[in-house]
Amino acid sequence: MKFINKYMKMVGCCIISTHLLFFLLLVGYPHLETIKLTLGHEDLKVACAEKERIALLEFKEGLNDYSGWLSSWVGEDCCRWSGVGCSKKTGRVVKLDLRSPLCIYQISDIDKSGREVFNRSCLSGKINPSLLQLKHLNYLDLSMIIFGGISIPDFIGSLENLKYLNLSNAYFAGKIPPHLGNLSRLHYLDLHGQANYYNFPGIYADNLKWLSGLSSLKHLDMGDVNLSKVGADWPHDFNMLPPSFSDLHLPSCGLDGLPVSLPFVNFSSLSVLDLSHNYFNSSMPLWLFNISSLANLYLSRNYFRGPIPDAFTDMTSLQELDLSINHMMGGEIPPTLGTLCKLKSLDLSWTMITGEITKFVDSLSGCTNSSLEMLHLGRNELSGHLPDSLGNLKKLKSLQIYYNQMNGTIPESVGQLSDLIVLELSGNSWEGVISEVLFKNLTRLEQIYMSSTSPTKSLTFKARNEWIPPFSLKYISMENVQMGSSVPAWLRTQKELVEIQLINCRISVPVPDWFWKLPDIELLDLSKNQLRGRLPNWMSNASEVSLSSNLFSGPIPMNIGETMPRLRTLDLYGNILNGRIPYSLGKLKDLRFLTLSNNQFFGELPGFGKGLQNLMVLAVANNNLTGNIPSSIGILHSLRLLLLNNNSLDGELPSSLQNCTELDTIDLGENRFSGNVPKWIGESLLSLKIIRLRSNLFTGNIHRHICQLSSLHILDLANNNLSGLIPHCLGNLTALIVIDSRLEFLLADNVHILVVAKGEALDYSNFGILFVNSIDLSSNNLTGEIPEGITGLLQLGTLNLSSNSLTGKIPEKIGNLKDLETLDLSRNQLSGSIPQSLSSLSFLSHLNLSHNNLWGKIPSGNQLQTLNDPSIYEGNQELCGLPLVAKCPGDEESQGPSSIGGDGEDKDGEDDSEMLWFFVSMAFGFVFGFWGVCGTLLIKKTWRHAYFRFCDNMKDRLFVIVAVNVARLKRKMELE
Amino acid sequence: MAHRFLLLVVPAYLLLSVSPTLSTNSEGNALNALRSRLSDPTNVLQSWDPTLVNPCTWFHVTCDSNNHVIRLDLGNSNISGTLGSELGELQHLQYLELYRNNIGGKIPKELGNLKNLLSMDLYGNRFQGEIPKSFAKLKSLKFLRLNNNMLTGSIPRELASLSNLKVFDVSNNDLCGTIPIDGPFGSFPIERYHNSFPLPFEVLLGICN
Repeated sequence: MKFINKYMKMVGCCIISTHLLFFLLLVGYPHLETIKLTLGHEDLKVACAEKERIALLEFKEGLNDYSGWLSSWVGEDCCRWSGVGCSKKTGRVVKLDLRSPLCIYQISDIDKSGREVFNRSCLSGKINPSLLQLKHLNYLDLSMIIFGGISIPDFIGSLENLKYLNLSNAYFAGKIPPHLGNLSRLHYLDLHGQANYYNFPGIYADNLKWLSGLSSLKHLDMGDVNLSKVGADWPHDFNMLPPSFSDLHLPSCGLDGLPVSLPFVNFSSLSVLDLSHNYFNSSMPLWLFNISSLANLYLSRNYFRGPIPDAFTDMTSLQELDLSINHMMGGEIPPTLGTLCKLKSLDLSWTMITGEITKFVDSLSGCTNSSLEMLHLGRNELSGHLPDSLGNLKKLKSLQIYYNQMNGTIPESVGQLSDLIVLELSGNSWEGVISEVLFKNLTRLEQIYMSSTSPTKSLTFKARNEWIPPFSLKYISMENVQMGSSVPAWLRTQKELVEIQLINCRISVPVPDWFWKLPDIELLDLSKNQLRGRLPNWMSNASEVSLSSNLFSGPIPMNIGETMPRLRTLDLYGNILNGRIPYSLGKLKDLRFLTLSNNQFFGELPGFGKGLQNLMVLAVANNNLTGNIPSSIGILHSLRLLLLNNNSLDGELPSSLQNCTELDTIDLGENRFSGNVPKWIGESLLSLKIIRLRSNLFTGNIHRHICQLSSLHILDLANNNLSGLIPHCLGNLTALIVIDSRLEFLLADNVHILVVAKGEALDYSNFGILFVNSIDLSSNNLTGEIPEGITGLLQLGTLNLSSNSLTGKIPEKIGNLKDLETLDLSRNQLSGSIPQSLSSLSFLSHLNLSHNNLWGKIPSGNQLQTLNDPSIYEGNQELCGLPLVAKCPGDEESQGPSSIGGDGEDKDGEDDSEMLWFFVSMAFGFVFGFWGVCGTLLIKKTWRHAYFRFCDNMKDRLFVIVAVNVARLKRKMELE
Repeated sequence: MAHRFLLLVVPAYLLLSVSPTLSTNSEGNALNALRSRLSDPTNVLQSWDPTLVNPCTWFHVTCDSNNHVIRLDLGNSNISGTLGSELGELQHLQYLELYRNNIGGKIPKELGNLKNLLSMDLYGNRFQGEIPKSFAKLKSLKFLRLNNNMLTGSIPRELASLSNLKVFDVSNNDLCGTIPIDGPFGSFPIERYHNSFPLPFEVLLGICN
């Protein structure tokens, strides 16, 4: 999870930096141009042509300009207008750059209001063909204008003087017009679509033949353009481009095929190749490694298989290599990678690579001047130590080896990396002591992440109280690192800190006052320490705060809604806090995650104000809350997880809860709720995946509408007073029938769901809950039969219908439930025999059929032989056979052969010892039968001779008899 | 780093496919090591999340109330690969059910450390090599089914000390030598044999090289 955050942040950074870059390019550059143009204009007195001025105004007519970016488009001289550039000599418009610097959208703001802001700050509208009047136009940038799903007009292909064309992020849709292939002078073409945030269809191409017309092209960006239909030999179309072609960007194009070989590789100048985020699932084709001109190669986020080819010998120009997030690769770091002395950036995170990094680092540090600035190897299976030679990579700015299986100490040579900004070593089995001395030269360090996963070894960070570090950190994360019993005093000197995580660091001394005055903390996580005392009344703009699993006591400050207005996450799980839940929390407009579980809060839930519209997780489980759920809960439109289990809440469920249509998990178990399980649960809360209403006082029937919840995979209504039939439609619960991918889920710390399975209450606090498929209706007053349809729920792992008043038979096809691990039908009035199919459930590990009216022989074979505790069958008067003592009628005499285990299928068993001996005898029987005869023949010479002599004699005799009779017969026939 | 909570739209298998040994639980680590040796085309092991404190919520794993693994139920699961010594760390295991798969290689001798084992079902696989002598330490063992494999060598005489053994099946292997007649083997009620061969001399399975 941490990683993902980081990844998002990285993406964020990239986006910001690209924006910045564009900003510089597209704002700075035009300004320069304008100055030049102004001079030119004054010198040469060349005015803007009237025809072109009118054309531009017509073009502007088609655009909405809320931000006023084009407000300078007045007056006669169109060459002075912003974004317009004219030729110095002729005065004709040669450049139109309408990319507005005001138009910047934030990727994180994908809600409706965010889109609105985006729309208003950017240009939008239509493209007027009046552009065609600008005959001399060689530079056209319409990027980031919201064209709202129109197609790229064909006439763009008629602007034949164009050298630069940028239509990126402009909300075009539909097919790319092949007319663009007429632009034979084009150097630069950017058609980058927008990432699919609002299900916007975007642009596509079904073939790329038109590319061959672009005979001057150097740079092409078709990122986020849907190329899924261009076929697997798409590289050939690029191979046709002129030899000067140098930059190819095809990220997120839906490409899935990459030919293993190319007949010839024409890319003699190709220096940038970006194929990241596609669906390539082959091994990495070697022809890629023959493009010796490549400086930047991006293949991240694909499904490449097999080891990274050891073929870097010729790639001497390579500066950036990104193969990250290719989960199926594995293998070791190829040795030739270590020969690339120009390499600046290497990212092999999430590639499942194994082995040690020593050889690679040794090899690189052999370069006279290693260029490596970024080495990212996180989330792999690397082992071994950090080599001392690491200190030779003097230019290293970012070192990330998080979540591997590395061990040993952090070598002192890390202290030689004086350019280091990011040191991310968390999630390895480090040990030993890191002393402040190591950091003497690390003056640029801004981010440090350390954690040790070793249960036995410990990692200590040793610094004097009076230490003044040479760096100024922005991010610090220490988990399972010993730093002394108090918050390190040197943090006081770190005025730029934005994020502090000191998790499980055994801090027990109360946090000093200065700590709460650190100015700009956005994230604070002090979870899993032994901090005591009252919660501080912290005035802060922090957005993420976790103080979970400590010993804080007393109430939450009543005015927290005012003192911490920016809170997005508040996690106080597992303390000894008490008092009422403050009403002011309702003012926190940004609050998304509120976790107060496992404390001693009492009183009623406060009413929910309109402020909490973004709340996604409300977890107040295991407290002492009383009263009803306030009907204002219906205001929480974004709520996805509602965990109020194990309190003393009562009353009926408020009908306003059906407005929380995003709910996917509702756990109200272990309370005193009463009334019906509302019908609207199955009608309105259609996203529900987990319903847990266990141990309440619910009455009435289980309504059949519950079967409409197509994502439901955990249904726990156990221990209530429900009556009536089990709905027959339960067999239609889609999520329990097919393997759905369950792609989307909410991952939250300190969210626990209890599922009774395998005879225990299992605590799920992780995405493991996604795989749990359970129906538990036990301990109610349900009547009627077990619906046959239930045997169609092929994904079901737990079925508990015990302690009801069910009658009828156990469904014959119960053996279809191949994934069943827990089956409890005990304490009902089921009759009939136990279906033989039960024995084919090879995952069944917990079975209870006791206290019913079942009769007949208990089936045996396979898995059932491992469930040999007689108590699981007891209380059925007429049941007989193993593992019960009662023998079945007819069993005494007939000890007929039956097969065990192995390949004999599901034969009946015998009574305990007899059956077991019988099994032994069966095995022995085979052995004896076969080897008793053959073995004896093999070893005893005289018997062997006797036997074969007997056989020979027999053969001779038979032959004689047959021959004599045949002769007789013949004679007879001749006579007749 | 930033968000403590996340809404993820990620194929869950991607998360589970990364298997850093984060668990502080040796039994979880042992099972995770087992997983790394196995190929699992039908994803029966997909719920085995190594980051959890114990493996009790994993599918096909059952714990007792002290969170010790007592059952491993992976019969008929289409898994292949080999077993390793780490299985011997499941000290509380009572049922080892790996029948009818395609697991090959040798049966690790460390399985003999599973002193609480009641049932070991390895039948219907592709195990090779000998039956480990160390099985003689499985004093609680009642069911031992190794039939339908490719085991060779002789039945270790030491198995005679398994006084609780009730079901023993080694048929359909390539075993040789004699069946021990002491211990539970010797007390077989002879009249139950469907062969009228006289006992009690040692029964020959085949001549060992």
